[in-house]
Amino acid sequence: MSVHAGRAGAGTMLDARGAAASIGWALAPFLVALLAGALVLVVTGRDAVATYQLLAEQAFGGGTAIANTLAQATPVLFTGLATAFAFRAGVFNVGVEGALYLGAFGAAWVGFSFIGLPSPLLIGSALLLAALVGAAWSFIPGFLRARWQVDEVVTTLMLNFVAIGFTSYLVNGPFLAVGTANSMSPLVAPAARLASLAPPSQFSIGFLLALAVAAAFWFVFSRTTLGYELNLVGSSPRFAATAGISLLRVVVLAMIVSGLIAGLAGAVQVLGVNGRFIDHFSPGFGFTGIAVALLGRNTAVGCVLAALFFGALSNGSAMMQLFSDIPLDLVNVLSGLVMILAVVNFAGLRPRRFAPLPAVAEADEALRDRGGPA
Amino acid sequence: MSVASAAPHLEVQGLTKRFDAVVANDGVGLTVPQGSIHAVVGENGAGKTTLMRIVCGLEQADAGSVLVNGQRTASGSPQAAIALGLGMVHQRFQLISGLSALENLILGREPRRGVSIDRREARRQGQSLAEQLRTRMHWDQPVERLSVGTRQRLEIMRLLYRDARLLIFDEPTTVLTPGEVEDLFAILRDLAANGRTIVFISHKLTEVLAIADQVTVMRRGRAVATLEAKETNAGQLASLMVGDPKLVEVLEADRAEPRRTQDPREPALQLDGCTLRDTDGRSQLEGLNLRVDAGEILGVAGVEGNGQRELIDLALGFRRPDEGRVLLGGRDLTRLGVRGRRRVGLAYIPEDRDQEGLDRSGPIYRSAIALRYSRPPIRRAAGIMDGDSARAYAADLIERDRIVAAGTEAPVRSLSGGNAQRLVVGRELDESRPVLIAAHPSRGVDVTGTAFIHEQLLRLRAAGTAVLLVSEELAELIRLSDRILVLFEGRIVGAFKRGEVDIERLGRLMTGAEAARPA
Repeated sequence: MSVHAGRAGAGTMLDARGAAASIGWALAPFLVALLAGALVLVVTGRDAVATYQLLAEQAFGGGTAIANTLAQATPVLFTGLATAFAFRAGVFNVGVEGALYLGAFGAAWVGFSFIGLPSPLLIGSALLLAALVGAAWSFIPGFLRARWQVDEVVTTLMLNFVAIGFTSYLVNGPFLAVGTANSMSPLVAPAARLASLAPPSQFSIGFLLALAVAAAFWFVFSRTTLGYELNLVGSSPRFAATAGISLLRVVVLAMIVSGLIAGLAGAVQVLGVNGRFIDHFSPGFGFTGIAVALLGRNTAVGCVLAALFFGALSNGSAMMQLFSDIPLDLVNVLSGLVMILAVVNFAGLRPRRFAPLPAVAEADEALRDRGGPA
Repeated sequence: MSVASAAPHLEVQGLTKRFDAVVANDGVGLTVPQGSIHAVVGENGAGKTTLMRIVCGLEQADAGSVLVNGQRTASGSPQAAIALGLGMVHQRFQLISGLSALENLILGREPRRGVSIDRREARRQGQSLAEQLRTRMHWDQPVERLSVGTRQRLEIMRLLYRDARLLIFDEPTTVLTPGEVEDLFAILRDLAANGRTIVFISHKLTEVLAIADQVTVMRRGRAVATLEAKETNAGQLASLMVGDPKLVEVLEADRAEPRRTQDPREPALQLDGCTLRDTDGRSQLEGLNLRVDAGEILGVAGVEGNGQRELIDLALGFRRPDEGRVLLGGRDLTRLGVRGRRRVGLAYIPEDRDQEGLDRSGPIYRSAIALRYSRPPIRRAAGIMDGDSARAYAADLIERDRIVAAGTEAPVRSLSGGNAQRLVVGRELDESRPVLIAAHPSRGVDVTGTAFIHEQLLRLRAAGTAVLLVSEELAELIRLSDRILVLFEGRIVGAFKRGEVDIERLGRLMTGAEAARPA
């Protein structure tokens, strides 16, 4: 028994060292991106250190700055978690953007249609409808992938255009707000608005909801049998099938939950920030979510940290424009670099520590051979 | 062989290599004279492959040196190793599917005419290599269409094409049929007679004794002995490999065990007139009738690709027959999926343990609980998973089956082949299930691992389990089975009781060399 305990102790020590190494390597893409950004700044004749100082100040210097950063982090935390949920089950869902649009419209519709309802009920139904719409939308590519191995990267990407175009039609036609020339829906009822936690910033209880989703994400993957199935299907689909897990069910379920979270992202943006559905309102939250998931290594904590990073970048740069001649494009360069570097497995240069990206080919083969009648 | 060289062709001195806490090679020394066939034997995890990867520059040693013709090599440089005439045929072939045999041959060193590849010159060189090996090659076929044996010969030709003088083979016979093994050995003897040096890694002692001039035995990272093949025997090698005389006794006893066939009992697994077709409508199994009774081992012999995979898929419930029924203990389960059949009582030891039996990148406990996670005590109310009891279960399994592992959280890929197999077998056989399907259970497993799995199969048989054993190891089938069926092109072409058939006859039936007789 003592031998056993000793071995377990050694294991824990190794784990701690491994965890430290993991964190170190997880930070690598951020640091390399910042260095590359500095290079761009220097080449264009600017002071890199001062720029970064300004950026950090604008993002974190004081209560309002932090509130704004958290507000910016909110949508990408949702979309990051939505993406990560599918990734964990080996499904490369790039359709979070589309589900976000549909969810946003669903929430707005509830918000401007049932204006007589009391606030909690109104907000609750708006969130619920958004989640259901997002889930139903993502079911389509999920089922196509699971049943016939239709490449979900293609379907989810294309369905984004359908969703964005469809909502655009809705607010240009049937639901165009009376008295506005721009394509947007009527304002939602004041009772449907999410309260700001630090007025006048847009940092709302939506952020707390996102944290709650992150907590639920963590709980599902570390404490439930469903999370066990998702993990197993994501990393070893053939083994999962052999153990009697239905790949079809798990893959479809992963897409449904992913769409559900994406729908919530849209709802929170409508109820907490814009107050209405606006045509083409998202600056690519769904796609930034992919970067968040990749940077966050598909874990809940990782997604929270990555979302904060992108939130800070986005908020800091917006403010920075007001005080300097640094173009907003610099931030786009930075986030682009981080996204690329996030996919580079820095740890891959060392002995492998991280799970690889979803093994799509293997999963397809497994679904084809093993997905059928199970 | 008359090339009298002062220095041996390959000399390894004091080689040491650690992976984290594991010492894979511990001061290994090895001397291989020019033109000889030198075998390196040892169990899985003894350090054979690591040693050879270091020799070929694929790994960097922590200490020690590798000398080729007396010249020290640069550590950790595959290019340098190739330049010195070292080449290795890996367990998993390094061929690129999608490319033709010829393209694979010349890849990385294409003969050129101007800016384009001189295909005629390439083919000429390929033909001359094929003649050298006294074989034929379909040069324009994509490699994935070639048989395993042909692919292996292509690998050898690739090394010769790159002027390799010292060829290393890592477990080359694992993937071959008995006939192909003979062909390979003929090639190896030829190569050695022409002055090339062969290093042959294996854990099959009879093969080693048949082919090698000298044998080096490795155990737990050390080279424990080097012997002349003529002056040793399988028993001595086995005890050196295992280092535990008791285990060797068990192995010998198993070999000598007399078998009394038990009275036939009720059928546990039945396939009743099963026909299975692929998506193009070609039949993969044709009217298959098969019955495994409780307390018997039914062996299924056949060359890969003759319906074994499909047979297993049918029994497990991955696929449904186009015609016919599948019964478990008399119940018609044709429509039931994998999970349902597993519940009813199907254990499965897959051929491809890495992919089908384990989650290699995940922690050990995750693979350990795969058949139990959905039931108490691991699954509590409302789908909550009890992590403590999951880990406790995995820890019990590790302890009970003496799996050498760094705890339940260690990744499965840190396990050696034999220990990974113990994990699979331990999990599948943990609860008594009426039927066990074992696919090539000893493939890629060492002496101890094979003895372990054979012992388990016999124990289950005695306890009344019905065992369906699919294997290409004919000796294994003959040793263990109460009855043997032979599959050829999706049909049963032979059925024998224990003791009615020998390896030669099975081999002829499997390859279609002997016409089918009514089963």
